[in-house]
Amino acid sequence: MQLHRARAQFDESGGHLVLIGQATPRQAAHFRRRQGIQLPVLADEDRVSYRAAGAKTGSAVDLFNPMVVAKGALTGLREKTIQTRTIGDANQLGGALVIDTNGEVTWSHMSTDAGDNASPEEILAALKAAA
Amino acid sequence: MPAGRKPSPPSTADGLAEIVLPDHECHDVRLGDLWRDRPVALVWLRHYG
Repeated sequence: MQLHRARAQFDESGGHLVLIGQATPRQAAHFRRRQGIQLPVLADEDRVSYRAAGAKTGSAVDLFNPMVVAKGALTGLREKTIQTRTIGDANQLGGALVIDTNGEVTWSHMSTDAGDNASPEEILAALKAAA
Repeated sequence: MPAGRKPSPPSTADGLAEIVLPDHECHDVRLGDLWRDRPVALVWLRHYG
């Protein structure tokens, strides 16, 4: 969880970072403990906010094309993590929005496939720009 | 959203503001409160696994 390691920088940015997962609060709490995450995690089991944010539901190609599989394997090696049982809809993709105090979405990156994720650096830069 | 379509993020957070979600401690959080005082980066996780 690279975002967690950049937490101090997010705290100093003038903004803040909140994670949203597609599970129950109990599962969110377990995820935080297991990953050692100090960030707030909201639980959206029905994925209402996912739809409102324009997050995509992936097709088989979005989830299992060779580039996605390779990227996932490399990330696992680099982060020394393995994927365990999927909680939530495995087809649901994620993404990120930066929202300013006027309620304007100043930056967005909604994933187009399972390997398409904004880096913590990109998100942090967008958040600093909005502050 | 049907599978295969391009994601379509909103230009404003109006559609998100009134959504209320529980956090990891079961406290309800109104999303609009998250950007009331300072900008927020909301990150939707693909899954917890």
